[in-house]
Amino acid sequence: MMLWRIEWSRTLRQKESYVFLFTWMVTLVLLGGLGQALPVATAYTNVNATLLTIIGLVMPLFVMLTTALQWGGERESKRLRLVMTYPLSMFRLVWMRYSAFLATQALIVTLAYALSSFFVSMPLKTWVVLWAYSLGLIAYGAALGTFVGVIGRNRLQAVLMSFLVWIVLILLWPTVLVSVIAWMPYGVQAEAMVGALFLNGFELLRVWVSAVLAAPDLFGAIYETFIGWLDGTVGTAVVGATIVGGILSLLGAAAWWLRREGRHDSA
Amino acid sequence: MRRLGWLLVLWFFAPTAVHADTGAVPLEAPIVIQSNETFNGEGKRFSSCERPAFQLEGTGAVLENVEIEQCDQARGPAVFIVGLGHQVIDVTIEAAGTGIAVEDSYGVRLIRPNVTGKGREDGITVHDSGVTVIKGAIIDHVRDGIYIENGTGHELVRPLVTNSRYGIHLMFPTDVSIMSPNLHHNETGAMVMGTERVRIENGQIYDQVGASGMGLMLFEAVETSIRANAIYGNRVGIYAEKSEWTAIHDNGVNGNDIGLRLKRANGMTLTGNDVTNNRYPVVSFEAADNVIVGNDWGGQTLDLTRDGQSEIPYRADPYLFLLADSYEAFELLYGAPGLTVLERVLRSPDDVTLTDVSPRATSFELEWQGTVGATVLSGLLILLWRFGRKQDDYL
Repeated sequence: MMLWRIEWSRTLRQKESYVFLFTWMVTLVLLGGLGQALPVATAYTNVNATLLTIIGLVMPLFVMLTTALQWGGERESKRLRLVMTYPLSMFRLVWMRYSAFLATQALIVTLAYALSSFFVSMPLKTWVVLWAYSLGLIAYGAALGTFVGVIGRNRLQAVLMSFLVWIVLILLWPTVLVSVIAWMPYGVQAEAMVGALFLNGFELLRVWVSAVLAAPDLFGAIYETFIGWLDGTVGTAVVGATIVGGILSLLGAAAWWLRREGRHDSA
Repeated sequence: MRRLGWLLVLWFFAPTAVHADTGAVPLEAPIVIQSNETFNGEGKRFSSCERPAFQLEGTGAVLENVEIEQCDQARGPAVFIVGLGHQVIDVTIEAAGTGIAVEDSYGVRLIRPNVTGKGREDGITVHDSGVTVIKGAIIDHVRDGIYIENGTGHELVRPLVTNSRYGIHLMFPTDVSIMSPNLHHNETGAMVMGTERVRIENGQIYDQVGASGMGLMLFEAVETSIRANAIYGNRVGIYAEKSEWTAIHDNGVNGNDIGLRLKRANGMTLTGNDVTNNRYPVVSFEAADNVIVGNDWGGQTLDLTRDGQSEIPYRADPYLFLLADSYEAFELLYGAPGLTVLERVLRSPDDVTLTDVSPRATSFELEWQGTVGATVLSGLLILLWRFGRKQDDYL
């Protein structure tokens, strides 16, 4: 707990935290101020749809880069070796760092949303869902960033690798799907698209948040049943379990990598 | 004293009036109203089954102030009209079949008809007739609220149609004006097909339901004018296919999944519409020679000359929709951040994109929206941050 609090205060004091707060606030206020939701509009309008797209594009990049940079920095400054001498399991060490970072980012994002709500009018449900979406992205992105940062030999490598992961999972993901799934038989394409969602937590979160905010027919009649299910309690629980499972797997993999390295060092 | 109390109780619960039996008058054959005759039902209720309850023939017959109920197996109309200049005023129909059928007529006026159906047949049908005026119709739970086939010069004023397949369904008439329609919770608000010179103005067309969920649908409609309507909460606000010279002016098309969907719609004029707050403002394929200017799309704008028009054109790329037309499964990519990149990489040619050369500039508004809850939450978070920083760093 002591170490966690040290981590927590350290991340809160970093300049990046203030930059993040400012960035999110500006993004939310700029996009929200461009078009206040009309009384006749549904909860899912092009204002918050644009917000969804922007958040889904930028937040994973920021979070992954920051986390990877932190772990790369730890490795480069040999601080990681010092920390590895503590009587702690590797998973606990990774989890401590990860959860402290997550808590800091959750605080920053929540504060950004709270401050933005002074200028942007949206239904409370929309705010809450967007906030949950942001937290989901941060949690998943930070886990990916942790794994990439641990693998990277130095800061530059960690940053480059996390950038590459972001390009594949965010920027090129539709291109990859279009390229692969177009070759599949027509009858299984929709199932393949749904299956692919569970390979990419960012996409899964995006579709889930769209399902919660929009009508079930947002993605066309072909997905109406699936989107309706995703909006329900079971669907939400499955999404949550998938994301949590993915995060724990990535953190476990990072801890395993560190243990392996520790053995190499002692040998 | 107790007896007085009982009397008071009895007096309090006693009925205040004695109602006469108001059962419906069963009709075996239709009541035929001939030229220049007037039938005033004075609120009486009639029931019919196999055949219409009332039939207006000749010239200038008037039917007013009646209630009609049809038996469950009825398929024909409750009121059948043929001829010239008839009037039907304040007629209320509980229809199992069609409510009012107008055929081969001219100058018929239906004033404040009220039709409640069972979803099987149409509310009001007008076949091969001219200059029919329907004012203040209230229609609920029928197949098509008002169905007009052929004919010319019809005028619909303030129709209210709900819970039906099509609120208004036009098939091949010309010169129809629909003023102030209120169409909601139908599968399609208004279906306009094979028409010429139809005007739809000052309407409220919203919250259509079901897989189609369209506010207005134009198919092979020529010279349609859609002006000053509020079209919101539908799956598609306005759908136009193979329709030429359509004028869509000064409408509010908001809060729909897709605001405008245009397919092979040429020679259109779109000006002064507010198409903000839709999931997708516009989807256009193979639509050419359109004049599109001064609409508010809710996109990126820049007004350097301060004339209210943006110097940045609005360009709607139908890339994903063209893709989803071939592979429906890719609809799941709507709104994916990476799609913005894909759209840039695989940019559609200009002849298939809809471009508003000078959209209405979006004014950036910042209004104070503060609430007590947000203030308290912000304060608590700032305090948490402040105290969270205070821990000494031992490492």
